[in-house]
Amino acid sequence: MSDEGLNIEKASIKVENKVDRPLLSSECAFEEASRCLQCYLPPCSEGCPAGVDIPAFIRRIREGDVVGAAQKIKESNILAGICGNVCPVEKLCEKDCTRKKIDRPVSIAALQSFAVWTEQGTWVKDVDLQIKGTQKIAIIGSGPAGIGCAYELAKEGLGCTMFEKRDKIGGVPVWGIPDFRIPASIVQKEMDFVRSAGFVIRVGTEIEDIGELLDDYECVFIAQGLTQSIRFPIEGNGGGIIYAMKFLENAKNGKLPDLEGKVIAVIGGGDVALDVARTVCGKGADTHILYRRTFEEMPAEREEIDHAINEGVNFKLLTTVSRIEKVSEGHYIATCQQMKLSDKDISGRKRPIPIESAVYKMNVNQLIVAIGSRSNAEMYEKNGIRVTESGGVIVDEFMMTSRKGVFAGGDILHDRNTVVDAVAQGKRAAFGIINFLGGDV
Amino acid sequence: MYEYKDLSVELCGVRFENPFVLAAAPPSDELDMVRRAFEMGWAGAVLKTTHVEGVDVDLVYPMMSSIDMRERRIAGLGNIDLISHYGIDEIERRVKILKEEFPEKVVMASMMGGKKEDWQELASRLAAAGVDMIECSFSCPQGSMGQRPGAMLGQDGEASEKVAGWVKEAAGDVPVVIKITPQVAFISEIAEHIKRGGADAVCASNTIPSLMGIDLETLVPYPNVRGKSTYSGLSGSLIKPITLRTIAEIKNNVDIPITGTGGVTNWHDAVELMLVGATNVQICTAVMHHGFRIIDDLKVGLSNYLESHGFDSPMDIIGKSLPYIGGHDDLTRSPDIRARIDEEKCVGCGQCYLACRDGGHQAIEFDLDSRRVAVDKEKCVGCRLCRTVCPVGCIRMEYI
Repeated sequence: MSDEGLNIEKASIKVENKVDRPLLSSECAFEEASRCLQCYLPPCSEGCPAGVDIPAFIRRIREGDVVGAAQKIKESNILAGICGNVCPVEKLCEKDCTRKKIDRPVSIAALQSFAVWTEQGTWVKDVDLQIKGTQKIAIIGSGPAGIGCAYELAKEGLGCTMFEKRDKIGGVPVWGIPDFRIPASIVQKEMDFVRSAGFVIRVGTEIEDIGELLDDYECVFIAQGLTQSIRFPIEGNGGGIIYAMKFLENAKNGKLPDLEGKVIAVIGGGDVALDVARTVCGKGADTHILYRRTFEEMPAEREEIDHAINEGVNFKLLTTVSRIEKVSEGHYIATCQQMKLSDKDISGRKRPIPIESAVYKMNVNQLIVAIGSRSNAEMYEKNGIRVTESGGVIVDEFMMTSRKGVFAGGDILHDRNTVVDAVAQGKRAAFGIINFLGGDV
Repeated sequence: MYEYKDLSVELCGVRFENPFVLAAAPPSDELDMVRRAFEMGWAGAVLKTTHVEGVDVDLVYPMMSSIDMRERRIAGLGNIDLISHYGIDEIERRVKILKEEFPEKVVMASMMGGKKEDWQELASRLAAAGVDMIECSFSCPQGSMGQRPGAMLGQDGEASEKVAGWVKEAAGDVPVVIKITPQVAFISEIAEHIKRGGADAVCASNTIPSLMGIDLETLVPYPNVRGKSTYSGLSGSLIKPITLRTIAEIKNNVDIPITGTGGVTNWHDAVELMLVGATNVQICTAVMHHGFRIIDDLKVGLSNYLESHGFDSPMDIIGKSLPYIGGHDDLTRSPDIRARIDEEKCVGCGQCYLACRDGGHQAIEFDLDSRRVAVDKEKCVGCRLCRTVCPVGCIRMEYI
């Protein structure tokens, strides 16, 4: 597959996580840390949604206190290890790094991963949270937003009850992001800490309707993520299709069938589609990503696309699937439709338009749909919470929804969807909650 | 093929084909090492300090430790080495061999004795063997520290004068160089004594008595010799400013030739030592770090410097910076100097702002939106701190 049309910026050292160890040796970390210009009012911290004091943690690495460096990061971002691995840093902290004006940005993510990795095992006992408050705060969802909120509340001495429908806490990083993007031991460590932090966690408890919680709790923070898969319109005689979230969760739970030599088509062009494709490809499948636009419009991180190409994922661009027919058990024929792009419409996007008669058949063993998910907007609206046209929950600057005492954060805002944004929104919601409770805590 | 300038210098009537000489140290402690260095282009070597037969040179290992600036290894090297374990019999033999094999190279020998007879026996035997110059170590700090901290012959002017006299008496026509220590109150007085004693030149200077650092896990300083440590002699880049001061001070006060050593790692450092008055330079640490091969870089670098600055010979630069050194009182008080920032080059890190705010005169303003800094000419006194911290060199000092 040619990478023509790809404008992959080699911005800085990339964090590769195929192996369960940090990218940088301590020598390299010291060297990289020495490149930091230690800016006054640093643009990197400005670009970090969680507001990590980046020059300060880098300075500690440089001075040989790596544990202190990790502590500094975690003061602002409780999921420092996860973020060090999955943050799209070239859009965040490294984007305006002053060092860029000399050569290339400081590899902040690599340094963060190095610090967290080096420190793991010592930090759990270093934090002494004293939760005294009564539990009048409910958090729905134990993903990054929920954890960010609960931890910030705990730092202020407030307890909360966290509801998680799955049997494990952690949200998408735990059940949805493949191991090759985050070392499992780092996720494990961070979740161990969350469990030990002192707030009440009820796993396996699904909140079907938030209305029932509002009577018992003064504040509710909704951070349950995108629960509804966007349906993919396709004709067929049944079977052969699985949705990406389900697939990734199965993968994390070790419940994947043998994919060696199988032909798998993944529909979509976002980070999730790439995660799915790389997972499948890693299992030895003949993997094809079908995307109805081109590389240029593809929303996935360039770095991930690059990895996928290198690993042997095939890209069928300007292509979608209109029909899937079962031939026999596990064997399907997909009808692929070739597309072309329209001129830019009013929103500035080029729409894909089917090319008449440009249709071909493809034998597949499985079609995985990764075209996105959305919030449970109907349920929110029913409870008096306003949502945007696309179903994203509308919040104010302290993450409060249109319903008093109900806060929201994370993916359900249909805004930026990174882990660090979710943590930051959780933190902001915690301030909003404290503010709302009027200091009477 | 590139042609070097004539890089030869003359010290005490002895011609060196270039100013670069191996110092009395591990790189000159084996015959084959010196042979290899000569073949690679070193002008001379001071054979590691010898002694009369029967002296027990009681070495310990490990003996080396270093001060590293992160990825830059060996900003300073500490050693607890002692003089050579080769006595005069072997050194005498080597001098003869080297002089026969390399008649154009300068073979110097370092020696150290106790009693008058020892000093004189060493000097007369080396002279008879055909050595070009005799260097006397009055200053090797290792081995003497601890029991009597800092007890070095070179710290006692009277004693130095006396011993220099003994050696000169026994050496005959062979020039005698005394290697001194900078670890004294008045370096010029020591040099004056040595001159009065009859020595032909001084070697300035030697390692600096140091404690190299401490392992925070074991609490044992470096180097850790089975759980205990001692004071080291510090060499390398870190001590260059001390060497420069030592040479300049002697040269400004005493009329005696100087062979410079201490902190020379490249041609640039060598030129600096010569600019304050060294006739040639001796090198050890840089060789121990990078090998004899650095001689090419030294020669080419010096040659290019001379060429580009219109000097015909290295002899022309000796002492050229001395007129620019004076006492603090001699300096012009200048209230009209200010920092100026080149906005084109500035990357907006704000380090100068922080340095000036917390370590200077609060004379730099920082604008967050544009990430621009500006000097307040009323508050700036021209201290130059901002220039020293700037990572891109966009600040210069200018008179207003």
